[in-house]
Amino acid sequence: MKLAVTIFILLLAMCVVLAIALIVPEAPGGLSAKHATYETMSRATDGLTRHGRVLWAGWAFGLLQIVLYAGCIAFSVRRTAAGDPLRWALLVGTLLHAGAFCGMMIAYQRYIHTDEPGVVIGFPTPTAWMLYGMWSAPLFFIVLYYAAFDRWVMTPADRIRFRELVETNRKQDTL
Amino acid sequence: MDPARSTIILTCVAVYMTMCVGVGLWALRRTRTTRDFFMAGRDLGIVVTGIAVFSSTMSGFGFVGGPGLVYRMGMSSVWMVVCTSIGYALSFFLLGKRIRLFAELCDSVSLPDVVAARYRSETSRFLTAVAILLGVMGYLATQILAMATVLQDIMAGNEAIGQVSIEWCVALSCAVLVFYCVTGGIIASVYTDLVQGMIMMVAAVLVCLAAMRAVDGGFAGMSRTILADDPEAMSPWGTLGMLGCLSWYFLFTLGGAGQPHVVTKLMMNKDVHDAKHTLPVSVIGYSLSALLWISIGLVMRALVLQGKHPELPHADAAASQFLQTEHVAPILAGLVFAGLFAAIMSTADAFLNIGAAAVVHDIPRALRGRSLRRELLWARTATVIIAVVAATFALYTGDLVALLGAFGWGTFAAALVPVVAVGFNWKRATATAANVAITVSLAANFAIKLCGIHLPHNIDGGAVALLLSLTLFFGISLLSPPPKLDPEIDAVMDL
Repeated sequence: MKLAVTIFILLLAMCVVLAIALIVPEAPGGLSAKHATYETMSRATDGLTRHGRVLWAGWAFGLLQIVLYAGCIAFSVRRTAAGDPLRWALLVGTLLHAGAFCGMMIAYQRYIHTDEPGVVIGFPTPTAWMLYGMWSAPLFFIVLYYAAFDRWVMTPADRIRFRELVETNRKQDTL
Repeated sequence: MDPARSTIILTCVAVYMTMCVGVGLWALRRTRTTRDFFMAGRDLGIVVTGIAVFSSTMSGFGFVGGPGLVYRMGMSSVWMVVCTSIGYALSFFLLGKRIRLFAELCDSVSLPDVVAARYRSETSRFLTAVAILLGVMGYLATQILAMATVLQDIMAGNEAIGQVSIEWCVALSCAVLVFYCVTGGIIASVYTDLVQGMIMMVAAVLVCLAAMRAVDGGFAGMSRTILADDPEAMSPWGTLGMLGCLSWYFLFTLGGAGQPHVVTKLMMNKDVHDAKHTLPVSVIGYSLSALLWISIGLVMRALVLQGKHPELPHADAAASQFLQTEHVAPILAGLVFAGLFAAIMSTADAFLNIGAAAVVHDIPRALRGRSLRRELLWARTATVIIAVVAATFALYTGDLVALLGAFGWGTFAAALVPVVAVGFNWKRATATAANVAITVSLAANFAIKLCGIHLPHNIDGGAVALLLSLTLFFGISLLSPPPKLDPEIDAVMDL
């Protein structure tokens, strides 16, 4: 019950952040426009101009999402007693995910203030954080699902209990 | 197009389509009951399920629209790809076990079947089936139109065949699709998905390598070219902007658990334990296929900006134009075009199957309390009818198809994530909350799209609808008295 209330509060917080962001006016030139030379491409306005007023909303909306995802995973497992290693594993996964997001946001804040952005493993620094960090950090949860399936997702006792339920159900149907 | 290249491409596509027909004939002998037709007898192996899950997710959009978006907007649409690792993890944590257990316990053949059992509500079954049917018609029509347009382009490039009307292309591509879906049902669908998924992975990796060789310096060279023209296009937000991208991240991460054509596959595993192996297969498959999405979009934007390629007639031509350059060997181009058909068909066949289930199984059950007699025959008939209606819809309703197709993902996500992904894990969730969430999400999605409402900062309407339906679902359930569950369902939710 406590977890459900926490998720509900997270959702309400996300609604508030989006509602406030919706009433913040966009930058005068808009977010993007048609490219001056190539009609099929769009071209963005300056990063500081278009994002300066809503950077806080991006931080808040992104971090709330990451906590919400961890909450949903905890919701599905529900064997998270205090001191359970799964709690720590979920915390580590969430910190990795949030760390990648913060790295990207900090790199982006530097990026919009520089004229000569650096390129890291083929991409500008904030984009590299997004591709290599945001994409790969949640792989932790996939490894967790694989490694901990028998312990936290579907234990041998659960399997036996489920077989019993199916058998009982079939007998009732036959009768 | 060079005649030799055109002939190779057409041959590859013809071989692929023949293979689909062959799989349909093979699956015909294995499809004896409605459960075989809709659930593959719940007997699928790990690799088949894993690849079917990812290839159903990666529709034709990933091979045509995705590269087009990267070409047009820079990195914005890459958020739809980046979200897959957390998105698949969430879908499997929330549903991998639970939906498989419910399906076996209740002997379900469709998602609305499981919803009805969980909430003890025929209204919930009906609303889920209606949401699925609405999403299917829009999504399927766009897939058919995309398939026919690509076929028309390929044929037009071959002088011996010349220009063929779009109606004939729709008829030809639908004939193959309908044949294997009618004969083999979901069994044919998942086994063609297996081949389709493998083609998509190989094609995407080879195209990514070709794209890296097309520009000096590979991805770093592409980045520098685009940075010199527009630094924001190469930023994580592209030209869409930060809040637009983060709303896509939300919609596509959480929304995956509400895609009926994807989560239904999780009901078909031979054993619930297989889910732990299926997840890595799906993630690896999707991630490899997505390389095509990113690499073609970036390389075409860079080549056009460098003046090495003329401007594209429209953004969605990015993939087909790149495949016609000297950077891509003709046999690889043929493989990718086959991969493109694979991507479209693997999604379309899943839609046909769940649409048929909604029409012949779920809606009659919700309204009359029982299924149709000779359900298997009606399922095959409904598959043909849905394909014909969707094809007609695709050809003659103009912008309405694009409109419905564009918010197919958002419709499914907002309507079904609360009801399925949350409700299957939370005993406190009520049928009233489920019915309100589905109704409000459909109304919100339709209102935003039909009224052409543009949200400030490019925030996605589907994401807002999803957030709204989730919040309502939790709020109503928390404020209502705890529902009474069937004892078996109650027991399964304790596992």
